[in-house]
This record gives sequence, structure tokens and C-alpha cells, in this order.
Amino acid sequence: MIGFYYFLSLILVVVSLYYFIVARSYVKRLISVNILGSGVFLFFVATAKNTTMENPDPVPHALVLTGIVVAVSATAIAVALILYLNKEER
Amino acid sequence: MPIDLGYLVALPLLASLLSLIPSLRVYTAFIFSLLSFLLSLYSFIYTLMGDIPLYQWIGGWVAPLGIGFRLDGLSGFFLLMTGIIGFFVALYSFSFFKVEYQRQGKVFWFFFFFLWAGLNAFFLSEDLFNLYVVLEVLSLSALVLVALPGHRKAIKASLNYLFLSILASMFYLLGVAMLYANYGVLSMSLLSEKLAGTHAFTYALFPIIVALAIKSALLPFHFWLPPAHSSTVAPASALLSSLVVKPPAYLMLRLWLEVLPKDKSLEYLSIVLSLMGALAILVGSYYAIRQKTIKMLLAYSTVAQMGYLFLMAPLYYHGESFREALLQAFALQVFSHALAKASMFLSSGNAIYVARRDDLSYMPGFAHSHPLTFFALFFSGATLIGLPLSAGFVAKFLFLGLSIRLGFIFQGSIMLFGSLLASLYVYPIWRESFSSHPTKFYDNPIPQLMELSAFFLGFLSFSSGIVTFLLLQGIVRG
Amino acid sequence: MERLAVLSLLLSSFFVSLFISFLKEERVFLRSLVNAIAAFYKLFVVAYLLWSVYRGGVFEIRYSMVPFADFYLTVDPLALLFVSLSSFLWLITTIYAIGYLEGAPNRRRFFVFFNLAVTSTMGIALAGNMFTFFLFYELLTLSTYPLVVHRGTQKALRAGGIYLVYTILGGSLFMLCLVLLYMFVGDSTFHTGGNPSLRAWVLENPLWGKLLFYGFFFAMAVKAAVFPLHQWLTRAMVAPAPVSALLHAVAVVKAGAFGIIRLVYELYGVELVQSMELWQPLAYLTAFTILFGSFMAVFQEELKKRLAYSTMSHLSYIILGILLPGQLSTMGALLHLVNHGIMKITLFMCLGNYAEKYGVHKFKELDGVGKKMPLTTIAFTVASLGLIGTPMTVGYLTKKYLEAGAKAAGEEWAIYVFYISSILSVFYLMPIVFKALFGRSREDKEKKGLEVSPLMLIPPLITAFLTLLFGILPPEAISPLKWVQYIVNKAYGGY
Repeated sequence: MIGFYYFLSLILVVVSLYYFIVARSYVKRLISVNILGSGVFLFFVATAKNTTMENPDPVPHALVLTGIVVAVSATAIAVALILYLNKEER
Repeated sequence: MPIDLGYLVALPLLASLLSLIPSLRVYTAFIFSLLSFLLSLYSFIYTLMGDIPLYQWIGGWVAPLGIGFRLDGLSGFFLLMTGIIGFFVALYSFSFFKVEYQRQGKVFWFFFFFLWAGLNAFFLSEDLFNLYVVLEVLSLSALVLVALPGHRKAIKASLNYLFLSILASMFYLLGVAMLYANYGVLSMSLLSEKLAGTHAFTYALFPIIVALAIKSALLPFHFWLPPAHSSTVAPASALLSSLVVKPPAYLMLRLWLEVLPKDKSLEYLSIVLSLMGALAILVGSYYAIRQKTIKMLLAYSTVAQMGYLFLMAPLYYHGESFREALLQAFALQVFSHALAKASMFLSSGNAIYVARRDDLSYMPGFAHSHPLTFFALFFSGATLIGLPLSAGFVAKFLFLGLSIRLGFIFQGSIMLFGSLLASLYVYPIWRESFSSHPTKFYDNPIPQLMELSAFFLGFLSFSSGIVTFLLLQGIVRG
Repeated sequence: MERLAVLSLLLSSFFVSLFISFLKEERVFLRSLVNAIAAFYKLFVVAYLLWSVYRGGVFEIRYSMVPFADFYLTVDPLALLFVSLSSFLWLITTIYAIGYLEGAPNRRRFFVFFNLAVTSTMGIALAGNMFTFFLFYELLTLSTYPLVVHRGTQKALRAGGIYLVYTILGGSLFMLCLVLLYMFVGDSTFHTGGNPSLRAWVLENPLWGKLLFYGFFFAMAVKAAVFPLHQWLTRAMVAPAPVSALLHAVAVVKAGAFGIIRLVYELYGVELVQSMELWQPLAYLTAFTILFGSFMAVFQEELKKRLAYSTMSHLSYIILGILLPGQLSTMGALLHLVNHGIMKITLFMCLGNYAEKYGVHKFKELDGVGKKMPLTTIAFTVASLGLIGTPMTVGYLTKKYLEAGAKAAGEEWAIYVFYISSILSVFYLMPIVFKALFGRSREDKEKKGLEVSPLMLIPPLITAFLTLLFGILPPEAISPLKWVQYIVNKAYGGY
């Protein structure tokens, strides 16, 4: 089961990387790095099961939560900048 | 007496909050930059005399759960570097935002102190995930500094920087996740025990190294740096180019010398990094030589100077017996470049302030009109080239010596050639500041603080070469 | 106490330079005062050290600067020879420069770098190992560049660029050799008679030893303007007169020659240099430089360029003297290091006076200037006679020792080189004197007052007087000759 999540995250990472490289517009790039983030978070959370104990390891959850917070704030700044750029253009 | 390392982070953070109150801004900026500088100085002095390495756990939670701070010779040295540059850039910014960019001056201090807190936290952290968070703090505050002038060019540079740094952070996090999945710990000291004799970490290392290479603008990933560092205001450029690119390289050295075991795949990796570093030196210098504007020139020179740190990667792999000398050489290269580059960017701010444009051929004849700024350019240029007595020279001497001793002739010759190239891109700055063509003679005064802070940074970068034995004592002690 | 004195010798001018960099341009008096005090202080310290060293004291300051290398200052007789020469001529040049630059712009910057250059020269003299020597050797390059381009004209900038190209390339070669030396031998301390660990290594690896020797030699030869590496010297003539005086008589070129002395006598050691026949090809090269420089000087229309070529040839006198085996030629070389400094600085200051008062830069403009500026011309004539090697001047002494040295070494060809160069120097110096004295001036208007300000007149007169004085003093008197004898006796008594 854990392999499936790994595989899924791999697909997300690869697809978003491809999209990141070919995308021209800032918004598309922003979306692609967010998907990349989701892939990485999925992978990280999936590793929580990778333990001998019955319950999943809580540490990855905590770490991913932090990661999500950081990613959200970075996204917010990016959106603000893109909006600012568009306003300037108009 | 040991200090609570938390203050090194808390103090700038507090300052960044206080600086949002308009009536307190100037006082906060002054008092807290001085305090933070003194605190860095104190912790540096502590590494010279006290018990190191000093471990402290926030809230008393020890590894693997808690967040640890660790102060040793190397981190103490870099704290000092951050402190010096932070302090002088703060001095410069007082005057700078008074005479120019008043609107930006309102938000500058917040991000300035935020960045400072991030840098201090980075040099103290010893937990890989903690480092991830701090890296993000650095990138986020840095990218606002890039966008500070608010014109299109700056915003675009900032956006590009942002995307690449999110990408890099995700890679880094991926690597951290892989390490955690396999070893179950993230503290560097614990990892180094667990890694010994295993191979799985090499897969995790790949995304981490890519992330660090992107963040420190190693050659194929360098394209974000020149626009980002050159399009913003002078004090921000100085911070970015001197401080923000350094932590990733520092982390790489730490991993290499303290965490990773000896493994064949690492040797190949070190060779690849070294080649990329060599290319960075050559390409970066080439573009720096071709630039017509001061700031672009300086930004490309940062790409080249960062190359040295990666060029020597095979030495980190092979040179356990010269561990101390390697750490010293690395620390000095970072230190001298940081001080010199900060001084150069601040002086370029002076040039633009006087001439009202960023163009090498319109550079004011500083040697005639503003000797202090000229001295700054002169001494910091000499440091970038690596001329004695500068700290840059001592670093190059050590690197060259070590690469010959360990049999890396290629690295040694690239290093020597790199300093020749550096003299080629520094020379136009010197020449233009001497040229006495009448149209280039602008003698409207520059605020004294702006001249003095640039001068002191340049002078320190140059004269610190002679007291390296003192600066490096902490590193020798461990 | 003595260690403090040594350190203060080095730091006094450094602090002066730092102090001046904060002083406002308009504070002429304070700046001149500080400069003069520092120069006199230095002279005083040198006198004290001379006295202590003569009584047999050796002082050193040493600490480990980087993992491989030490920062090492030492006071030995040879160092003191160079220190006393530099600090004396520096005082002279400082006084002259204060007068010469009166009212000129950017004096603050000038004196900052001027004092930085003194610091580096002191460091070069006092360096106790190759590493420290290199530190200050490069600092000298750095601090003299702004002096060369001081005027900021296109010509000056170009000259400065060429100066940097030569010296930075030379510096890179130097650094490479130094690093190799440290990696192979691990020590670069100067010892009387040669560094023993280097000697052991060279005997094992003769090829590397040879390469390293030539590497060091050519790195220094850049500054000493040995034949293919002399281009920068003649172009650096665009600098103001005190700078040329300084570059040519004391600091830069002499630093190169002094480095070669240290290299041959105290790093490799005479014995090694002779037994491996390292000196021979270099001796031919320097002999060629002597002739080339003298020959080129004859055809130079620009007066300062003429002197520049003359410097080139005289520097090679010194180097040839160093390279030729034997005690006498060593004495000749060391003497010439001092004597040439005194004579050449006189010539440059006199030319500076001509240029300042009557705008004379070229040979053809000299007509009649001698009659209008008699004292300057007397000084010029005396120093010219000295350079040619006429009896009763210091130049004669040098020449005598060098020729005797060549004879003792069995290299008679070198004597002819010295002869021919002497004859050529008659051809490039005497016409200046004759033209100045007997040429008919086109405009008879004589400018009123003293020929130049006393600050510019007294220094060349003093050095001209010394040219004569040291030439006729009996051997027992206190003079450079005696000190050189003392050095050479010590050096050759070593084994």
C-alpha cells in the first residue's frame, strides 16, 4: 500500500517538474510548484507508515504541516507579486 | 559564561516586529542592529575561549524531537560575519532610506531583521528539518528585498527567484523525507552516527545537493541570481549577494565534513560539483568582464566567487587529514567575499546615488571626488582578486596549498586562473574611478554614513587577512 | 623594546595612512605635519635599531598566520640596510612631495597610498620568510597603482593598466612558487647561507629546485625590470615626479632587487646557486639588460623615460652583482642598491624641478634652463657624474667593487659590460647637463624669486651632497660601505 503512495508522489513530482520547465506564465508556474509540493508532502506523510510500530509515526505529520504552512505563505507572496505585476502592466 | 543562543534569533525577530511601528522605527533599527551585532560578537568571542561545541535545546526538548542549537567555531565565525555585515548595512541604510526610496524604507527594516534572524538561526541549527524552515525564512525575506524597488524588472526577478527557491525547497524536503524514512533521525550529529556504513543516503543526497546548488546559484542554476541581485536597492543587494547565498554552501560543507561517511558515490558527486564550480568561475567571470553596469558585474562576480566553494568539493571528500585547514580556507573565502561584496554593492549604491545611473562608463571619478568610497572599492576589489594582505588571499593560499598537497592540480590552476579573471573584472571599476574626464566629475556630497560604512567593510575585508590567526582560532578549537 | 620598535616601524606609516584617509582634503598643515613626524620618527627608530643590531642583537616577531605559514618579521643587518635606505629616502621624498604637490588636487589620496607604500617597503625589508615577503611585495603593487595613475589622464590610466598586468602576472607566478615551496618543503625562512630544509629538498629534486628558483627569480624580475619584463617601468613615467622618484629609486624596483638578494643568499644560498649553476643564464640575461637599458636611454627624447631606461640598466647592475659568485661582487651589488637609490632620486627630483618651474619635459626644451636654476643643475650634474662612475662619487665605489668582483669570479666579460654601460651613460646623461648649461634659451624671461620652493630644492641638494660625501669618506667612517662590509662578512663567514 505504501508503495502506491510513493508511486503517486513520484508521478506528481515528475509531472509538475515537467510543467515547471515548459510553463511560460507565472500563474502556471506557481501551480506547478504547488503540485510539486503536494507530491513531496504526500511522500513524506507516506513514510510515516514506514515504522515497526502499529501506529504511524507522528513526526512526519508535524513536519509536513510545517512544510504546508511555509508553502502557503510562499504562494501568498507569489500571488501578491503576480497581482502587482499585472496591475503595473495595466 | 555561555549565552542563551536563542537570543541570537529572538532579538532580530523582536526588532523586525518593533520596526513596524513607524514612530519607533529608527530607534529600533539602530538599537537592535547594534545589540544583535554585539551579541554575535560575544558568541564569536565565546567560541574563542569557552567550551565548544555548545549544544542547547529549545524548551529543554532534546533530539530527536526537540530543536537544537549548536555553536562551534565555524558557526561562531559566520555569526560574526553576519553581525559585521548586518551592522554596517544597517548604518548605510539609515542614510540611504533617508535620501532615497523613502517609501521602501518603511518596510525594509522588517525584512532586514527577519533575514538577520534567519541567518543566525541557520548557522546555529543542527537539525535538517529546522534548516529547511530557516532556508525558507531566508528565501522569503530575501525575495521581498529583491522586489523592494517595485519596478517591473525587480518584481520579475523576484518572482523567478521565488519559483526557483520553492522548487529548491521542495527538493530539499524530499531529500529530508528520504533520510527520515531510512534513518528515523534528522539531527546532524545523530545522522552522522547512523549513516556510517550505509549507502541508502546517497539517493537522498541527490535532491538535497540539487536544492543547495540552486539556492547558492551554482552554474547551471545561476540564472536567477544576476537579475535578482542587481535590480534591487543597494543595501538589499549587499545583503543578498554577501549573505543570502552563503548558507547553502555552508550546509553542504557541514554535511560533507561532519555527517556523510566516506562512500564511492560521494567521490563522483564531488567531481561533478567541482566541475560545475570550475564552470561557474569561468562563466561567471566571463560575464562579469563583459558587463557594462556595475551591479550586474558584481552579481556575476558573486556567481564566480561562489564557484570556488564548490570547486574544492573533492578536497572536502579527500581531505580529512586537513580538516581544520579546509574549514579555515572555506570560512575565510566566505568571509572575505561577503565583506568585500557588501562593501562593493554599498559603494555601487553611492555611485548610483551620485551619477543617477548604473553604468560603468558613467561611474563618477570617485578617486578624485569621494576618496572614501574609492578606498572602499579599492580594498574590496583587492580582496575579491585575492591580493595580500586580504582575507581572500589567505583563503586562496590555503585552498591552493591544499589542492596541490592532495594532488588536485586542476582545481588549483582554476583557482589561480580565477583570480586573474577577477582582476580583469575589478580593474574597470578602479580605472573608471580614476578617470578624470570632466563629464564624470560629480562632486555632490554623499551622506557620510553611506561612505563610511562602505569604507569600513572594504577595509575590514582587506585588513582581516593579517589577523586570520585570531579569527580562525575558534575553528581550530573545534 | 626592540620588538616594539620593529612593529612600530611597520605600523607607524600604516596608521598615518589610515589617519589621513579620514582627514579632510583641506587640512594641509595637519597632514603634512603628521607625515613629517612619522617620517622622522621612522628615521629615529631605524637609528636605534642600527645601533642595537650592530651590537649583535637579532629581533623577530613571529606567529602562525595560517596553518602552513608563519608571519615572520626579523631585523638582520641586510634588512636594516634596506630599511635605513628606504626610510631616509622616504623622508626626503615626503618633504619633496609636500612641496611638489602644493596646491594640487587629491593630495589626501596621494599621501594615503604613499604611506601604504612605505608600510609595504618596510615589510619587504623586515620579512623573515618568503611568505611575509610576498604579502608585502603584493601590497606594494597594490599601493603604488593609485600613485601611478594619480593624475587620472588617459595616458596614466593606460600606464597603470600595464603596470597591473605585469605585476599581477608576476604576483601569480610568485604565489604559485610560494605554494609549491610550502607544499614540498614546508618552510621558507631566510637563513644566512641558505635554508637547510630547502637545500636538502633541492639536492633530491634538482629539476623542481631549478624550476622554483627561476620562478621566484622571474616573479621578482618583473619589479626589477629585467629585460623582457621592463615595459611597465618606462610607461609608469606618467606619474608625478615624487612618485617616479620613489618607484625608481627606492620602493618598487629595489623591492625586486632586494627579493633577489634574499632568494640567492638566504633562501637557496650562494653555494647551491653556484653548484647547480643556476646563476649563469640569468647573468647573461641581466648583462643584456644592462646594455639594452643604457642603449635605449641614449635615444629617449623624453627626459623621464631616459632615466627610466637608465634605472632598468642599473637595477641589472645590482642583480648581476648578486648573481656573480664571490664576496666582492656581493659588496658591489649591496652598495649599488644604496648608491643608485641616492643618485637616482636626486636626478628625478631635479627633473621634477625643471618640469615644475619651466615646464621642461623633453630633451629639446632644456636649453638654458641650467643657468636659471643653478642649484638644481649642480645637484643634477653631481648625481649624473655619480651614475657614470666618476671617481670621488659613490658611483665609483660601486663600479670598482663590481668590476673587481667580476674579475675575481673569472667572468671577465662582465667587466666589459660595465665599461660599455658606463660609456653609454656618459652619452645619455652628459648631453642633458650640457644642454641645460650651454644651450641658448629661446625666451630669456627669468622667473622671479628662488628657483623653486625650498621644500623642493633642499632634498636633491642633500642627496647630491651624500653622493659626494659617501664617495670620499675614508673606509673607517660610518657609511653604507662599512655596513655592507659588515653584512658581507657575516654572510660569508657563515660557512
